[in-house]
Amino acid sequence: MNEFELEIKKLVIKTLNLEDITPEEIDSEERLFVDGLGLDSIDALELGVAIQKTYGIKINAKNEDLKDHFASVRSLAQFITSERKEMDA
Amino acid sequence: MYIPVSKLLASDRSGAAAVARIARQDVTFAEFKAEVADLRARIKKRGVTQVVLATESSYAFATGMLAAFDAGCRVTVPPNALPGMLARFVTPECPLLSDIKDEAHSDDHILIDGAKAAEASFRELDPDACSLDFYTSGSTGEPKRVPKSLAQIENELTVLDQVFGARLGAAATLGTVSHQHIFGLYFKCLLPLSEGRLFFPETFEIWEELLAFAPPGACIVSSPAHLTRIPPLDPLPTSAQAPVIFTAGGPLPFEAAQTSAWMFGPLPTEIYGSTETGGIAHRQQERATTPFRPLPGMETRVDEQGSLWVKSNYTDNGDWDKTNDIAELFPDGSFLLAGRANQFVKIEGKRISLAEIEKFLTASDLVKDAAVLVLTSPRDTLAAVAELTEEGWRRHAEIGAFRLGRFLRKELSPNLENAALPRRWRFVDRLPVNSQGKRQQTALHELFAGGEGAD
Repeated sequence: MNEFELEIKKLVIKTLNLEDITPEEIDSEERLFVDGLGLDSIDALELGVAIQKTYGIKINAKNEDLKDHFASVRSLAQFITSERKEMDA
Repeated sequence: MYIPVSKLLASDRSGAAAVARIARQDVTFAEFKAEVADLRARIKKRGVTQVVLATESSYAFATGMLAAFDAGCRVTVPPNALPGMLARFVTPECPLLSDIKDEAHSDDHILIDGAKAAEASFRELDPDACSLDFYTSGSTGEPKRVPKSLAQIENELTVLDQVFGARLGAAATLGTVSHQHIFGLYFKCLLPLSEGRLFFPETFEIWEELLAFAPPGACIVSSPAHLTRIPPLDPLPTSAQAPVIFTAGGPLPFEAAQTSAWMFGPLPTEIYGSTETGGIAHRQQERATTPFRPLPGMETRVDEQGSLWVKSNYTDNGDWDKTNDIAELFPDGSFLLAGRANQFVKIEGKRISLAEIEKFLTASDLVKDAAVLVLTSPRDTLAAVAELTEEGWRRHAEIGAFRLGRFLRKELSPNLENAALPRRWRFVDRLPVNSQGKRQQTALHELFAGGEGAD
């Protein structure tokens, strides 16, 4: 499994106190919200805060693709990676 | 300038005045009136005397409410627009007035679609003849009706204007709370409308989105659910700070009050109240022990059990009402809250009946019996213990405990709001009961011990 995706799965489980599930049981491509993992809007708020604190990135609401970035672990990993590159540039 | 709701449409407010900002466009007062007039005509054509009003947009709610009043209708305001909730209220005689396209009620639906009448003339409404029926969690698990006449609503809005109007000035208003509840309706929609301040129709779910829309110096109407989850943004520059942040629904942690002030400007103004009594008191938490001061016209006392009672100008009887809270009362009538007094719980600022969740949970084919409880650490969380049916255990083996819990949340979701969906789950062969057949709270809580925050 992609290391960074694994790290994000661990962050999701820890931040949201998910029980009875291991990082390995989360599919990188499954939907995080509503279907799939079944997270809700409160989870979205907490996850957004945790990602910004952990990775030092800023989530810009004018970013029209925000919902797509938060769709799955994979899209989230790609989003964080590209945001960090932009900050380093 | 403040104009009571009943006099608003017949008033001389300028037709060019902005009412709401929808998709970055300002809707003027003239357009607002034309929309109300069109809707009024369509409601009258139905020949009904009552409607259910449930909308996504706070602006649509305002047009729907005024149109229904002017068409002589009593208005039911369900606490949310979930399909299970609407099914309880909507009938051919009591159609749904909504901006949400709803297949299930397509025949009994008057769509709020922004259509405008060519001619819009209005008389003043009789505030004693118009009324809204709110619903809150009842002790039996059924929603409890709380009627409010427009006269009562106006009395309260007038007081809010006197207390907060000067600080609000001409500030636009944005919120993270729904107008289907009384706090959101008053602070996010009807108070700005009466005062002639611009409001945003959205119920913003994430801060980044709210701030992207917020004009400088806008008022924020929020709740502890959001104010305890502010992302690490840059603080607003002094020139753009919020004049007032309103919050209600539950206790705001002292730390969250300080973070909010650092981020947005002022300490949040906490409104303490209930659907039944309206707003009772307010405070800004300079210290954790800053007491709530009663709003003008409210009296407070505590009984031998420590329960807080209030006497309000806004209730039917004008008599003393018992609240669901324990309070410490000071000689000047101000008070500090010290906990809940009954079977209702507050989760994310929403009043929730555990009995109602249990009722819906046991209706599932997978669940034989269920107990729902509140875990208090690190924050108040709903937890469910479920005794599974044979089919339930089969699913458990197939998808695991986590996904079974999520599946049951999804089964509950047409009937219960997000805040009422249990976040932690335990599946057992038998619910722990004592020899009298009563559930053992201690044993239920122990099922969740140790798992907290485990890495």
